[in-house]
Amino acid sequence: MADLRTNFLGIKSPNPFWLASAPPTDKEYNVVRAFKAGWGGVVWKTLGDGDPIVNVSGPRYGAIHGPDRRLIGLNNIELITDRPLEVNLREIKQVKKDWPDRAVVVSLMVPCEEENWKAILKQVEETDCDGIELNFGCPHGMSERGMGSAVGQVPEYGVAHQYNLINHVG
Amino acid sequence: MSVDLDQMSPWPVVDGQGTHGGYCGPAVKPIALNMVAEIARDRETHGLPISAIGGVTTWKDAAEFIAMGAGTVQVCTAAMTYGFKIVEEMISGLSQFMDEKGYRTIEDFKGRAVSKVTDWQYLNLNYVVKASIDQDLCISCGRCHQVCEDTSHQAITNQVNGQRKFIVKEEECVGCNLCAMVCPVESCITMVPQTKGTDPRTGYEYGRPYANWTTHPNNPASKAAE
Ligand SMILES: Cc1cc2nc3c(=O)[nH]c(=O)nc-3n(C[C@H](O)[C@H](O)[C@H](O)COP(=O)(O)O)c2cc1C
Ligand code: SF4
Ligand code: SF4
Repeated sequence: MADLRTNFLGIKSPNPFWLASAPPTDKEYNVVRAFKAGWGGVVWKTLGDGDPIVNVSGPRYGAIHGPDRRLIGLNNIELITDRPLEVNLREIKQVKKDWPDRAVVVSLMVPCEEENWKAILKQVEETDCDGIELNFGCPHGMSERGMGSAVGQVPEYGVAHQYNLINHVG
Repeated sequence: MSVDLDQMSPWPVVDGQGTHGGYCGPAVKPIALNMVAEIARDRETHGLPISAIGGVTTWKDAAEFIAMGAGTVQVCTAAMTYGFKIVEEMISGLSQFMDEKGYRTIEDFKGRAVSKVTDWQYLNLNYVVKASIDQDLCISCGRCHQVCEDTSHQAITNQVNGQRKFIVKEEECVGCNLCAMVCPVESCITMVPQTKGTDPRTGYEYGRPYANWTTHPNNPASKAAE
């Protein structure tokens, strides 16, 4: 069997298959089951600061099916994690401790103010996770609040902001 | 995403209203792959580590993203559609592929396709393929004839000597590949590179050396135009 190990940005994982930041990585229960199934890493469902966001309780998903009802496209109007930050941080720390050979990256989205980023990065660092992913892509709900794709769609903003992050925090 | 025509509202409908969302799954893979390719080949971003996302469903999707420069892939919709166990097939499939090709590690084939991504103007205009129908595999459904006749170059027969028969007319075929994509029988229509003889469609020899649009006589900006 071929050697599937990867070293990505210095983050080691037994194979290149990571779960993306989304419901499959929203909590310890899911992530542990994923690791048992063999996933090489996860990007934890995006964390925010302040009070947890609230999701709609109506339908969240839409799908395009092929003629054989195989799912071809999936649409969602779900936001970032709706669980308290402390709970997520505690679980991330536990999971990384229990699964040291798997990649655990934490996705983040907070208002574009230095203070917010400084505060959350410090907390995330304490989980011993392997890295962070900046959610500058989410196109719905959060972008109307000045985050996600509202940042990613303005390249200058994003670049300046990442530069600040690297300079001041990382 | 879609409109619920009974409720006259975008889907998903939340108590009579809808909004746009985030779109993912197999449908976005080509878009994601193009973005990864552009990042991987752009002079300014070339070599940046990429964790590729968008429609990864099988080991093959993953291998394609890795060949295009990705260091890891991320998956959401496939897990949400088929459950976590789908990673087993991804792992065994990728491993088998690597064994077959003699790649020992991911690094052995990572980014191998990046240098093959080019701009249209550098494609070889002297490269010629023609469709060819395997008569033993053909089930005479007629779909290739239908699409080529209606929407391409009228290059496939439906009758020969009063018999129902599907044959490519070399003098009309531009090698577009449409028939091969609609044929319901796998490998029945193949696109065969032409190397010897003369193209009855253009009158040019097959197998002329590489030449692209930048030097083509019809290109007003061409430097090499005589
Ligand atoms: C229901 C759902 C929720 C998602 N939530 C997040 C999120 O909180 N943060 C994030 O960065 N991406 C989120 N995503 C995007 C995924 O991480 C991923 O980028 C996207 O689904 C494309 O990959 P796929 O085609 O494998 O699904 C979400 C996707 C889905 C389907
Ligand atoms: S709608 Fe179906 S899939 Fe969603 S939470 Fe309820 S039971 Fe589970
Ligand atoms: S589409 Fe394929 S099977 Fe059908 S007639 Fe053409 S070659 Fe034969």
